[in-house]
Amino acid sequence: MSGRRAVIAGVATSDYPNLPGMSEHAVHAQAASRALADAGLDWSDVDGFATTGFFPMYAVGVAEYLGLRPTYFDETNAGGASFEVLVEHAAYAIERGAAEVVLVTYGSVQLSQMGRTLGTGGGGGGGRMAPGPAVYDALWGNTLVGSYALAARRHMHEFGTTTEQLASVAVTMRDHAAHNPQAQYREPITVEDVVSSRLVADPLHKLDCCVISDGGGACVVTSAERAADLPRPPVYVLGGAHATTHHMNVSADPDLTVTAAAMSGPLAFARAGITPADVDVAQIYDSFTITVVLSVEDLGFCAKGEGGAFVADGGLGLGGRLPTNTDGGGLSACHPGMRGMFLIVEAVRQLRGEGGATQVPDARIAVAHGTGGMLSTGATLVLGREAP
Amino acid sequence: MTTPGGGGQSGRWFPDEMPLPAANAETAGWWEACLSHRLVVQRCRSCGATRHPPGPLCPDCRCLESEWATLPGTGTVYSYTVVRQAFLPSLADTVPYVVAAVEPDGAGGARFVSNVVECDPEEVCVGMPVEVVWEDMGPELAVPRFRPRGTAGDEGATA
Amino acid sequence: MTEPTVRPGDMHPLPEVPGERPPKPRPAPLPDPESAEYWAAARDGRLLVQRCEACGHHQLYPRAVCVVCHGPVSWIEASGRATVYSFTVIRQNHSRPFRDWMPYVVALVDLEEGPRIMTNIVGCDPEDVRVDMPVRAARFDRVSDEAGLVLFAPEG
Repeated sequence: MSGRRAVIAGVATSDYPNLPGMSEHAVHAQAASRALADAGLDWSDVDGFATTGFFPMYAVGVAEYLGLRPTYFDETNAGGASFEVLVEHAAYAIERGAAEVVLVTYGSVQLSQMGRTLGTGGGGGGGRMAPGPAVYDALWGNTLVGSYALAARRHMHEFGTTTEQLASVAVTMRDHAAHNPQAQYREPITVEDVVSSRLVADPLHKLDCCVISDGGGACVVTSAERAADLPRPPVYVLGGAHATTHHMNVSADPDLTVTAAAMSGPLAFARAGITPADVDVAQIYDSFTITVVLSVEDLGFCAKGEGGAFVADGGLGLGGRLPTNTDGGGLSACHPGMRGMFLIVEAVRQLRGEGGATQVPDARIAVAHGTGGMLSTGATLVLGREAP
Repeated sequence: MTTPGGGGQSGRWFPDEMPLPAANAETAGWWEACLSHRLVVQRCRSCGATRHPPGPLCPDCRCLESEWATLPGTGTVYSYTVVRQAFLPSLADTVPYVVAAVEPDGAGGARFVSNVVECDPEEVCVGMPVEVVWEDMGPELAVPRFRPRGTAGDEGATA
Repeated sequence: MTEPTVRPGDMHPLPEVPGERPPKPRPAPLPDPESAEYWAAARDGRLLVQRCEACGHHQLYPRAVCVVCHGPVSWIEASGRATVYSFTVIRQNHSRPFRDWMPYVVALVDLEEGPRIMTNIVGCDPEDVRVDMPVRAARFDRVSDEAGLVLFAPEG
């Protein structure tokens, strides 16, 4: 590898969680402006751009909207894990010399536009379903929550994981959200609250599910040398990797208790030259409580099957073995649909010591791990305060 | 002569079955001006750059503050094409018609894609002077189209 | 204990379903060249799986080639015996006709031949479904002229 090292020089979140007056693109713009200001850079410094959304040529469209004419762009779509992939790719581009300043943005007004229906992903009543792989799962009235519920049920069956253990993830996230003034929900909850909330798809309750929000974020990836005279301490992209097991059909997933994190995690750690024990703070995609349990196992923070005990023993809390989602996560703070960007922003803030009440003391290495689709994709990003 | 904001009389050039545009919070100001037959362009409050289509962000300086600047309603054809195939059945009697990128005077280089009407499509050329003429497509919607300037309907423009 | 918090969805309640509406039919798949035989067989009460002519691997959903060795595949009739790999009871789904069925069981079942498919478990109380429970193809619902869907019920 050449001497060029990729760093994150600036990060920002947009306003969240409720943006009734804003368009999706305006959320990108707000987050991007703030991230560039944070980095001490100007729009004219940007030569690379990355984002993703639900329409083809999405990144190209947002670039036009923002008045950018980038010579590097990327819109790899890995669902919620996309932004870990986009930053990994941006780091390669920086290190290869293919770009100098890559702006990565995310924006969504899912809550204002769609309200509640997206949350359960009801899907497809009546009519005819177009041919193709997705139809084989879609015909049965399965929902988005149902797909994760199928994984949770199987994990409970194989490893004795309990609904109370799953619930503890939501409780810890809410504890963290209490310190985040922007968080969508900040009132403390108990395990009893979670397991007595309405069942959406057994065994997942309403409070096992992420919130539905508006919001976005952005980060600026550049080279360490470019960042040397910028105002913020650079955060190094130490390593990244991504993987996929299946698309939208959970029936095509050979083992619902093992996610793509089991591939992306070890690869990312090896590329970063670290082990899971070196990680001080984690930002782990928490679309549902089960997502976190599966991820901590697959990333190697505990053995397969021990995730339930890991989270129930306070493993994710401040002072726990792996302080996780210090902003309150998607379960309490903000989940606009593809939350991966928030993981990166919060990881960078922790490494800069800007975590406020939820700052992990002397955090040197952070992991941002995204999960996308129906447990379909995993993308792991290892970030560090110091040059490798 | 045209009145500020454009003065051509309302007419109908396109069939009722044409799909109607939908406004959102970012574009409503432009359509509201159209409804009162005022041709406007969005202008950045900070750097003065104009832009179209409307949006909340200045692509030049990324300022979020903007205003609607009233235009005289005249302009020139930047480029155009003659559409000869009806993409909707209801357009069968309308083809051939002209789709043009018009540079309105005073719009700072912003261009509106519209139609050039009230002339033979074969007469349209790049650089042709045009003026706005309004088509009321319903109680809630008026659409600016353009016609050659100084040819048909000067009397209408002064009404 | 505190009251469960209000979720964003609660701010956007769906309109109530008007009392008398015709039942909405179960969605039907549109067959394509790879799936037409599978759907047609289920319409006629038979469950097919693909078998690789080169390596013997069984697979569903239907594909043009074997997912293991990429050899040619042909159809065989499955025994209909399966076990439940996992299941969930759907208690929230705004789409019709599913919302009229709630609660209902969505399950992944492992066919005796190997492939795992999604289905509904019928013929028992949702509370009685268990992981690893033996089930059999018990019902074939005709959903169009070209297609049927296979549903499973507890064995015995």
